[in-house]
Amino acid sequence: MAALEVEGRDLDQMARAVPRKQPRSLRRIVASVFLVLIMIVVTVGMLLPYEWMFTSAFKTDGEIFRYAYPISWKTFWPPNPTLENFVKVFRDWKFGRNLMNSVIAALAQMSGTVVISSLAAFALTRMKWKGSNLVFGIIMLVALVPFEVIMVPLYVVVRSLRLTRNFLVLFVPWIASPFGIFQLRQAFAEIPRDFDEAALIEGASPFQIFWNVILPNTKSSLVTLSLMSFLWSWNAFMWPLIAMQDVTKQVIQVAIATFTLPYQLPEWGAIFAGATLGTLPVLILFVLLQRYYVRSALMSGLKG
Amino acid sequence: MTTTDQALVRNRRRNYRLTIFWMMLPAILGLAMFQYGPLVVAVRNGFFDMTLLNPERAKFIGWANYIKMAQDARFWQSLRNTAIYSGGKVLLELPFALILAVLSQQAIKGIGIVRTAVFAPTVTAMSTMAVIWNMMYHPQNGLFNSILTGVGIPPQPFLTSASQAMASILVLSLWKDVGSSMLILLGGLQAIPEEFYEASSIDGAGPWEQTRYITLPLLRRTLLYAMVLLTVTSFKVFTPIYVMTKGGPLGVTRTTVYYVYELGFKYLQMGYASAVSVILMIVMIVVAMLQNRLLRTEFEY
Repeated sequence: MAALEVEGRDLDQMARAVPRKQPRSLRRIVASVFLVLIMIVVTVGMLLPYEWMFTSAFKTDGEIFRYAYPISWKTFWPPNPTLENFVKVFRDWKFGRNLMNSVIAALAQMSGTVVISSLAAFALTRMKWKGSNLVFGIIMLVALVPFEVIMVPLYVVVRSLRLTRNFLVLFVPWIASPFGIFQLRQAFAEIPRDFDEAALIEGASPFQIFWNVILPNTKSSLVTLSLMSFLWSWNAFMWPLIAMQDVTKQVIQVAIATFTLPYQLPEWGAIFAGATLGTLPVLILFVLLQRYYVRSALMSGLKG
Repeated sequence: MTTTDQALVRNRRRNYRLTIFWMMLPAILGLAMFQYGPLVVAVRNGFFDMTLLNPERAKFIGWANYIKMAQDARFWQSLRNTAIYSGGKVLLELPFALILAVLSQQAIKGIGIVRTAVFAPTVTAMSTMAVIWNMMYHPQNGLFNSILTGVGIPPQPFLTSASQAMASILVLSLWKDVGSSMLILLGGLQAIPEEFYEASSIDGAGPWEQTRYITLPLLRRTLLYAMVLLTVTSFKVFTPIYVMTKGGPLGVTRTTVYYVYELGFKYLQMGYASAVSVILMIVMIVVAMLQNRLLRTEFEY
């Protein structure tokens, strides 16, 4: 698939100048001014919701509503920044707990997915056994089944396992991931077979080959899968909403969303503060790991 | 070969098989329990009358759930809403994504910032962004109405109006997802050989002609691929509906997945909910297959 060919390339390498020789005419200047204008409009438009969220988190509810009309710089900037909202979410809403739950669940899902997927991908690519292709086919078939279709019976499964008040319910159903297996299978298959054979001659067991040859050579794929499964877990909403019935073990996304009800006017400042806390970590991760994120975005595009 | 050698070989073979077994076991066990199992149960439950409160007392009712569905106006409305959402999403997002992809390929100072800004919403959670957009759309205190009245346009009801609610949700999900589609199209643009542009430049083609006669035709496969993905994901929309409108007003934003959620977890009709989700899955597969037929093209470069 053509789309996958950008895999692993840096975002900045993706920009390509189409060399065109043109005189510096008035038309060209107008065109570039127009282009810059579009760039500014796009950037401002995309970032506006975040800007409004971050800055409103430092306003009191009264200020948020007072500065909505007429529109002025105070709509987009707190004239008297206050930390009151953050105090409120931690003290009254116990957001610290939800944040911790999200961090633990995301880390658990991440490590579980990486371990299980890499073991299975190794057995599927580097070991010879009858039916391995068939098993892989069956695993990938499940990738076509949307979670939304199985959510009701899945809920019954976890309920019959008495997990609905157990922290495990947040991540255990998702750590065996067809996408993780698919992604690592691709990566493992790219390692030349000579590597294994050299190790085999030295008397290495399959597990030693896995640990000493394959894993060290597929680090970037492992990072990509880690990032991807961390984000899936961190941003998950529908499953924790349905499955986790103990509010003290609930994740941050559900906590933020269940404090607002449609058409109502709850404590806006506190919601902005909570949303800021839930959003900032992934935005920072994104900026730091943008290169890996490009790959993971393509993969989750495949996830559908 | 001596008997001890044979035993050694046998032993090694057994160990080899055991390694495969233990390496595959967690993945297979997890998928069987949490994916395949529930899928089989979903299909089975579609033929039962059961509630979430005591699923043990289920009663086999044959095709009754499916017959009920055919006469269920809410179900048909939810399918129509899903089609409106998905169609709107594809028609809005693909052109925007294409423009942004072409734009972000230009080597201009600061284009990296634009790209980062377009990608940013794809990393942050839909649920939280829906909460924020819910407030932006708020009729009295929302940001959109502040901006609209600032430029002299009367305030709009947005999510509270049956005619604007779905469009408002579409704009949110366009903002949220356009980066992913752009990335896929960017991948397609990268695959077009540079020489095509160089050759056409020599022949005197400007940027417009190059877009029309090189980029678009060669991007066809990628565009169709992005379209299939977009349609399939749009069919599963749930989170913004749950957060912003709960299916209202007047049911215009009740999509099929939201209806399944209501049936299962609000009305506790597990059997019927399962039947609806089975139909949803079949519709998704059929739509994806239809679009895949379009994908099959002889054109290669």
